[in-house]
Amino acid sequence: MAIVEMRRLTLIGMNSDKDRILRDLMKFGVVDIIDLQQQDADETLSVLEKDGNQEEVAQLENELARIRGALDFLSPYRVKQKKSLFAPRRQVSVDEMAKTADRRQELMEAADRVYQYVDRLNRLKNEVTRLESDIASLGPWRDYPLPLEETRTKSTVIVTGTFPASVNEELLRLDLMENAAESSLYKIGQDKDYSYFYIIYHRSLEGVINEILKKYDFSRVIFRGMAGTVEENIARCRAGIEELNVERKLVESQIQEIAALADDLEVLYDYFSIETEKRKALFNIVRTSSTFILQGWLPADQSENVKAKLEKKWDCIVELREPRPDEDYPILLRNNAFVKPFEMITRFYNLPKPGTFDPSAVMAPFFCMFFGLMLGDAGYGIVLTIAGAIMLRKYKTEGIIRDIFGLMFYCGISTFFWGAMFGSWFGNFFDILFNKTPAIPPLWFIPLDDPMRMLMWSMIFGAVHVFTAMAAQIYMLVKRREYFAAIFDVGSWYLVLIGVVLFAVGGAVGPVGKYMALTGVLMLVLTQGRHKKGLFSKLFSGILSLYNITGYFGDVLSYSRLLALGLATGVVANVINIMGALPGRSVFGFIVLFIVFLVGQTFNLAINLLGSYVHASRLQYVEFFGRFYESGGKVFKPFKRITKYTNIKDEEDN
Amino acid sequence: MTFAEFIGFLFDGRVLAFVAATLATLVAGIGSAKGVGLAGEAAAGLVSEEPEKFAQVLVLQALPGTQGLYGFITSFLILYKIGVFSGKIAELTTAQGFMFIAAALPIIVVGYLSAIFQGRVSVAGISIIAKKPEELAKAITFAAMVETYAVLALLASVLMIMIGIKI
Repeated sequence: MAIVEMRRLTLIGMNSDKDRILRDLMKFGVVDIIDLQQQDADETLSVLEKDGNQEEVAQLENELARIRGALDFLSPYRVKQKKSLFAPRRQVSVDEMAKTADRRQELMEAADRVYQYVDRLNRLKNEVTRLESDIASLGPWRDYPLPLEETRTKSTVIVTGTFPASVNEELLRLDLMENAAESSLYKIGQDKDYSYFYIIYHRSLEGVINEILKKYDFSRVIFRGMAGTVEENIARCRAGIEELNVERKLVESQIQEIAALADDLEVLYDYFSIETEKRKALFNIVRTSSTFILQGWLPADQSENVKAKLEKKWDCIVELREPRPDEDYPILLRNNAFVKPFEMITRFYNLPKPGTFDPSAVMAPFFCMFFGLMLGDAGYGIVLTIAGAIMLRKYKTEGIIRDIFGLMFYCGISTFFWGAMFGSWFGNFFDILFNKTPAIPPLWFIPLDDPMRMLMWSMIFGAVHVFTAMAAQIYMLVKRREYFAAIFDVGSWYLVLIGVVLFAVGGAVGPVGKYMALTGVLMLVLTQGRHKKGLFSKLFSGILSLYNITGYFGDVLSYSRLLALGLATGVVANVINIMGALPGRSVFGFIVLFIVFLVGQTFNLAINLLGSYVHASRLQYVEFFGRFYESGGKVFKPFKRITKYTNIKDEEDN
Repeated sequence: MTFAEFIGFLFDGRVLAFVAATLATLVAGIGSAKGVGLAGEAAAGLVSEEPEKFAQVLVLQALPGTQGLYGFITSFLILYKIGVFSGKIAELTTAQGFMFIAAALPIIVVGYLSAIFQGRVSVAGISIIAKKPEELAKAITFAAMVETYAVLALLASVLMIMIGIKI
């Protein structure tokens, strides 16, 4: 299993069938098309004409963008069915899609109408805002009795305006009375910033009045373009808003009407995106006047089937061959149900190089175990496992989201297991609840009470991990027939490391360990300089290679994080419980305990979930993959129907 | 209180143990706040352009936050060890008090510095996300490399407190 074997497919067909052959390939969804138009693809083919039409693709992409935008505008107007986040997509048959595609004229017009309506809606909204601000600015003048267009009579001038609220009105009136007797000042209103006034004065007093007003920081308010009293104006604005709102409702109902077409627009969107994909595939194809050539990679187990189907249905030649040793075929991973979610961890690092092997299966148990050790709480484990199981049942579509739930499920089980071993059930929650220590005794031991023991076990787990990585290294070397390197580069380190450990343990195995280690050291000194020239530099490199022992010990020490992070989860979980228990053992106390427990444990779980994931990954990437893994594969990207809104149901027509 | 009594009080083992507990949460917490703050600024910048990357950059922002947590755990263990939670604080000699301070030092200093450096790596990781959102795991791994030393510091502190100091 692991890396799927690939076959290289060459298809020569008639140009007249091209569109339908591509449609079939898309339906199969298993062929990763190779770009034959590239310079270095195949010399014999590069002389042929290139296929593909840039304009067509651009046109389609433009239409996609239009539909997408229209759908975004429509989304608040659509009739909402209650939809969960992970609800499966709508199923659409090929026929239904074709029918919808036939209505493209009508649907595209509808989409364009959406833009017009939205435009109008925005203009109406702006208008309403303008009128509302008019009303707001007229508000303080509500009691102004004169028509707004009247600013002068034959011999008087009428001025409206504001003084700062802090103006000394007495002084102002006195000033006016003394210097401009033929004037009268009326106060209309007051708010926290301004006082609102109007003044009527004789025309001849223009200069004097202006001077006085200036002294008191008067600022004029001019009602441009308004006629009638303030009340009338406000009423007019209100009526205007009313009217605009009616129009807005009308436009909205028109949008609502189009919103009924949104489902069809989604189908059309998917139709166009499939068409775009198909057109884009042409850029990988070369052609003559009547035939075309397509090459691609496909999984070996499906290759014969695809070949048979194509040759049966179309007038074409299909050839299959194994990859040449130097050929970089795209990488597709395939594993059993347990390992499948862990492929994600490998993929996040990088895909394996062609001709090597997929480390997911070896890595999965370790990841699962380390994750469990670091999260290490039976309560959290149960939560994760149940959540993962529920989501796995609900969410059937293969993909990264399902993988995440798979990880949750398996790592949850491991977390539960280690939590039970260490006697941690939501920290010491049950100890506190039942006022008894320990309420649930650990199956193994409590790390906080005996951290040294846990530290030792962390290192032992780490050593097993590192030894497994070395075994994988040997496997790689043997696969490449480098037996010498397998025995001396890796095998001798086995001797040294195991020997040193046995020697440290002492007792009866002590001397055995000593001789094992010495043999290993001797092997290293004699062989590790074999690529150097000259006896001295050979020997020197050999001795120098012993320095690598620090690397091995450093790696093993790095697993002490299993203890540290496990303690971190447990201690914080305990702290939350202790805090929750502070109010004491009463009804009120239990309510507080329950609330603190819920909020606090959720927080702790979230933080440590991230921490455990990060460090479990790191142990794989740095300590494990670092020893043997050869990455750098290209992703297998089959040519298939990529849809955004719907899933396409195929009738078995052939 | 005479001056000598005052000094004697300062060197009381319990006071010193509390100083150790205080500093662990205080200093490591400041470090984490700085680190998370740095990453948060960068994250906000990216999210202003591409709001759909929120979840990814949030993970990167959260990473330098663990040092503060480690400091807190150290504080808790010190308090636990001297019996704050069992209701009777143990009598400590001055030497024991200083041992608590020594035990807390790794997480105080390394926690503070590694949080800031991890914050900077997170910022760099956020710029990876800006260009290649699919490479989140690599960005996380870079930040996790820095965290190793905070983990080791926590471990050293925990071992010293739980095993090293006999009361």
